[in-house]
Amino acid sequence: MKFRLLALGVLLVWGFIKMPWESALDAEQRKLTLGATGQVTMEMRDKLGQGLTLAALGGFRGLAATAVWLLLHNAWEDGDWAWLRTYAELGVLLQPRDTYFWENASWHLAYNASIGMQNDAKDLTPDERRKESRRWVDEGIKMLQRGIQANPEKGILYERLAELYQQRLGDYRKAAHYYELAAECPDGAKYLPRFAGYMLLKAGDDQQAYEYWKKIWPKLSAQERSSSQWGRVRQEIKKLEEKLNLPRQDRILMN
Amino acid sequence: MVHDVLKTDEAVFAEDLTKSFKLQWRRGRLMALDGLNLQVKRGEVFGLLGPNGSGKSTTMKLLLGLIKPSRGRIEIFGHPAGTMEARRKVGFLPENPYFPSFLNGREALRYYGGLCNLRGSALQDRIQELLKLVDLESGALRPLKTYSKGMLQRIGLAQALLHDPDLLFLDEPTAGVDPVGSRQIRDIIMGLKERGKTVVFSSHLLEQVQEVSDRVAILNLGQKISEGTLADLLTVPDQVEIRLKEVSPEQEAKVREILRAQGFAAPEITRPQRSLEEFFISVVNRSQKL
Amino acid sequence: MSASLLRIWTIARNTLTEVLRQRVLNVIFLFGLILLGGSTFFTQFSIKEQDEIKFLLNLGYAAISLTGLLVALMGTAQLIPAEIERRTIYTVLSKAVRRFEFIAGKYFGLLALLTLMVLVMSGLFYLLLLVKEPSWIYEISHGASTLTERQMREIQAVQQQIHDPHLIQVLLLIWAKLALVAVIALFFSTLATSTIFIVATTMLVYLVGHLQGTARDFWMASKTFTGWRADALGLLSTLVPDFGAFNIVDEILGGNKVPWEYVSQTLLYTGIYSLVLLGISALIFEDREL
Repeated sequence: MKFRLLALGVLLVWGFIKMPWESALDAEQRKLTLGATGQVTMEMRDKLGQGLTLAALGGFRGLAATAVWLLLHNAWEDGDWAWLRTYAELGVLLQPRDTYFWENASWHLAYNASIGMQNDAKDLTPDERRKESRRWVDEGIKMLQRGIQANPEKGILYERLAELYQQRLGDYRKAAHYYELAAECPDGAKYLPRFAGYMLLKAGDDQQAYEYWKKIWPKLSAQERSSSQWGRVRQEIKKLEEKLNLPRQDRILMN
Repeated sequence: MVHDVLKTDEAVFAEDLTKSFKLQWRRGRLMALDGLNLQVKRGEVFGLLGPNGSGKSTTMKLLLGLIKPSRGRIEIFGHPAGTMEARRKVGFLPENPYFPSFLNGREALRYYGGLCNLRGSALQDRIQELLKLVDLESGALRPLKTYSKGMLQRIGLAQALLHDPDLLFLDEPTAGVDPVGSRQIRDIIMGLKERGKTVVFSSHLLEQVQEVSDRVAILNLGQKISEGTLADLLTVPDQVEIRLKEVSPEQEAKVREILRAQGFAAPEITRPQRSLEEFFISVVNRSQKL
Repeated sequence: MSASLLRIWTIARNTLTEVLRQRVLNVIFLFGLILLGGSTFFTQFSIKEQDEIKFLLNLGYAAISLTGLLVALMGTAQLIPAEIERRTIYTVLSKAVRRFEFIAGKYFGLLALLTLMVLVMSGLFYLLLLVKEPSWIYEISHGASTLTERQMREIQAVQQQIHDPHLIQVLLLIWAKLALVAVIALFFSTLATSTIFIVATTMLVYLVGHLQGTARDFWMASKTFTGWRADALGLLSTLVPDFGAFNIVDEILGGNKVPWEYVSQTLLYTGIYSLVLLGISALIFEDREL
């Protein structure tokens, strides 16, 4: 009998000892995942339901995410936008630290669903259809913004957002802004700084465009400056300098 | 390695040994053993007898240290039963094959040998020696689940002897074994006795017990109801048996006369019989030799 | 000390032999089928090869986890009850083997099996990825001799996904989680005899363990709850491990780099927790009547 009591004692003592360690591990995990996974935070009501669902999956989130991926694909093929939306939400809940669901969800919403609405919703007036279509684009934007919150260090989400503003809304200023943010990320593609500048040009903001080129041109290496891609930028800068009639001392390029 | 000196000459010493179990569902307590006093001297062959439910298996478990007494004490060569020192001195042959059925004979002996801290060539040699002793050299590589009851008992004896214990506890060692195998096992027991080992065994086959034991104890309902040497217990006090070899009919008649003259009205004069077992074995052995 | 370790090793080896001969490893074939099925099925659902590989990795590691979990759960749950039921434990514990050595040997034997399974499954998985790699690369390059920058980037991404050394972290964490589940099942098996009960309670602890972090947070903040609710949460957090620590696997599979320091910390936590539970199980088993 005495061994059992000792066992209980050890169990309880260990129970108390382990808790600060667990909290430390959890805090570290939250830091690494930027708070997007790990234990749910203090707000009980809405997060508890999610927490319970995730707990019930018992560490098989990846498996559930795979299932959601398949379901989402099917919903897309069926043009079932409402269900697609649901699966997208499930996907980002399960894997917030993977860009896949944020990217693809927003793409489905802002492009496929939006255009689908435009073409297929026969029971709505053209005006209503445009509104609906625009609503889905906004949903796509919101999705990417949430994704950026969970993954602020990844360039691809900023890039997709920039593309969205560029291609779906024609808002080149916003596109430029996001291309620039994407370029600042460590995993950003090489062409992103150029795109930011081009967007500003397209927006007609010559002054801003020039300010922008002025900012990044000195940071380029000699090799980059002589490459063909940046060669086009050089031409643009020249054009701007002519257009804006800038005094000699303010120009970047020597003739 | 410190050599364990035998503390006393008593292989088993049980004093006021009591064990009660709590029954489930509030049925109270079951008194399995009640104040048992038992002594087995070193070098004895001791038979533990009793009907089912008499407390024999409880006594066995207490001897082996698998359970603890509710009251009283039990010691093996002076060490409390269940301690490492005590268990090192005891070899146990269980009643039914409580052996891992997925191993073959040799592997099982290797397993148990490892538990006795034997290894390497010392273990190999010991296994070989024991397989020879129990006559299982040929069947050693067959899986235990294919063994006959007799083979299982023999491999069981082998594993009980691995660490050369001073006390052997055998639970129904010949139950379900054919007469030839039974004889082999009993010969091994006598061989062990000659080497100074102590043997305690329990059996329902009373003729066999009678043949090998020095002393027996009879248990019933958790208490010892009789104990003593076979001579003390079984000798019919008021009779004498006389055996004569090669008596002619005339000599037999003469003997009857003398006895009648002495006042013995109806003496019993018969031809003694060999035991059926002896006969069976000799006949079987003879047929095998042909 | 070394004698004790030899006995533990003997029991561990015997346990491993037993489960291997019970063909437990056949379950790996089921795992293989799931993987193969998944890998051929997924091709039609993806546009980018990277996505297909991503979900294949998800599926593969989930399958390893699930298969391992089944074996850890059911293998450990019957480890000790089976020995008690078949009475083979008597033959072992009648020898000079300590009870905690028996428990430790049993556990480490099963842990060896789990380790073997994880290695084999992950090896097969890696093999599958290697076999499919050329076809994925072909999908991107279409057999062209010169590739665009975009194509080269994509091919590089695919190769990085497949040969990512950080996936070893995932394996270690899965293995650690299995070891912890096994020791929890062992703990319950020292208290109960019904295999179903042991499996059910272990699964319950497993599920609740994923909520432990939430309970712990609420209890430590103790603003929202007071009174008995707070105590209940506190008790829960004390008794159950934080399985949420293993969620970091999702982070790694998402392609994010997790430092080895954090992974080692988690492994250490699991290791110490397992040893503590093993010790507690040994303590409980010490008292157990057989």
